[in-house]
Amino acid sequence: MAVLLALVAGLSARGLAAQDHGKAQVELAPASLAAIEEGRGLIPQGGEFLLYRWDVFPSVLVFDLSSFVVQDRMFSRLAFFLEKRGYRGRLLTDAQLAGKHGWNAHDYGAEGLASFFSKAAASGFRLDAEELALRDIALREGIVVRSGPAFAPGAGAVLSICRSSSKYERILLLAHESYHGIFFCSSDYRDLCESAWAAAPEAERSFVSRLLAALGYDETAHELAVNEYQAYLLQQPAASLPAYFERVSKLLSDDPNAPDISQVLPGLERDEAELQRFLESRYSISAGGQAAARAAGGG
Amino acid sequence: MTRRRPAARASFALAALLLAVPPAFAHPHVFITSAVSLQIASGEVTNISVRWTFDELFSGMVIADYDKGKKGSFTGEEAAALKKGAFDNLKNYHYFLALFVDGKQRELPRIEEFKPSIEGGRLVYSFSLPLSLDVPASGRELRLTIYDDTYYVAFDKMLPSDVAIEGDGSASGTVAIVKTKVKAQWPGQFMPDQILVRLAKG
Repeated sequence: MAVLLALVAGLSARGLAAQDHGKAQVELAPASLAAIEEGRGLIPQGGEFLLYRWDVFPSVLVFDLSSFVVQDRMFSRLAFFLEKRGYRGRLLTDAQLAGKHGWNAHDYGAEGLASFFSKAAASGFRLDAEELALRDIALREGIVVRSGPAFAPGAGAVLSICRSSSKYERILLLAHESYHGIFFCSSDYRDLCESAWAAAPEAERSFVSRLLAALGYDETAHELAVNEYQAYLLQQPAASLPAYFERVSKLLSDDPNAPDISQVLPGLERDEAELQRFLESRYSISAGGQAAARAAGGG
Repeated sequence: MTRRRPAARASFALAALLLAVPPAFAHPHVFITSAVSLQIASGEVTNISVRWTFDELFSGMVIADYDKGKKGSFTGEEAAALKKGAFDNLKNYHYFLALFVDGKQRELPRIEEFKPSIEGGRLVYSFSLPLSLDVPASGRELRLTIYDDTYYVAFDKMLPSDVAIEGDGSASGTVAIVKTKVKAQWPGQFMPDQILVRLAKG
């Protein structure tokens, strides 16, 4: 078995908080997504996560957290600050976050992380221990860098899944999140996604925007919308794309202005094929990731 | 800012579930088509049978893992392994079910008769919830919400024809599919449906 887990073994997120982060200078070994999603590594007693470096994109770190509770403590405030419709740009207090689920998995790039930690620093907002641990790891890895009292984007991204999710959930979630990792770290791919979005018919963009809004994303955040658009296109094998979008289109059944799925499906398939060609040729990455491989019986 | 302890967050989450108020920040990756039937005998609802048919991708992964030899069916041993590996975990999610009787939430009965099968290449779970719910002369209102409050799983919208009432005729019922009454957390939030069965004696 490939060496996968690197790390933070024995140290809980609280142990990694601000004053202690210097003790966590453990080198991360690269791991494949297949190895990460299997979750073979034991999270030590009292520990809250394992951390991996994606072998294909070494600047992408993957957190495997012990539970939804821990994952929410590390990422929920960030999710609301960067992604959630009706909340973006605001640092919610713990009381305001009460009863609100973040996501079942997360993804954040250097710019988003820098803006979150800068806003917290500028406003004197007291972050949780897990958020401080995330900040210190992002600093150590150069994903964010200090810029006076604030933080500036470095390079890289963080993804997360957690042990509250079942084996199959982890496979599907990591398939989705991994395309975000590529988006954050490959400017060529990002440019291609931007051009595909810009060239898409108005009805297709309207459909995707309305879908993202129904799902809770702030669809007015342009880069977020483009990033989610490509991840939703690629998270399943191409053959499963029509069924996926036909099903999620039912979430728009109460929206009289939403374009019909039959109107936009050809464009979605065309865009998926274009992005897929690029990822195959550049990185040998297929749509659907491990989910596709396993469904085909080869995982 | 106040710091909230993990236990407080967990209790908030539990309260949200008990009130069937879904946090519902959606990110669906698995799709399930549901069918439900109520069995009636001697003036009581004695059982709720649930049948879930999964989407092709999720079905493909689970079938590849458990249908050894690609027979198109599960042996007893494979079914038991599947239950342990891909069903029992749903207990942590209350099996995505919330049951209300006359407006009050009932604790879910123990899940029984779990049976996985393969139909048309898709994974099907069938299971039952045994009940002993009498139908008085004044009638009963039964509501069943099938919903994942983390919205990893999306349940297809149901139609009244997806709900059957079967039995000895000692009670009858009408079925409607209604929206849950929850406050939206963001504009345009999708609201899950709820099965509403109005039962009458005789």
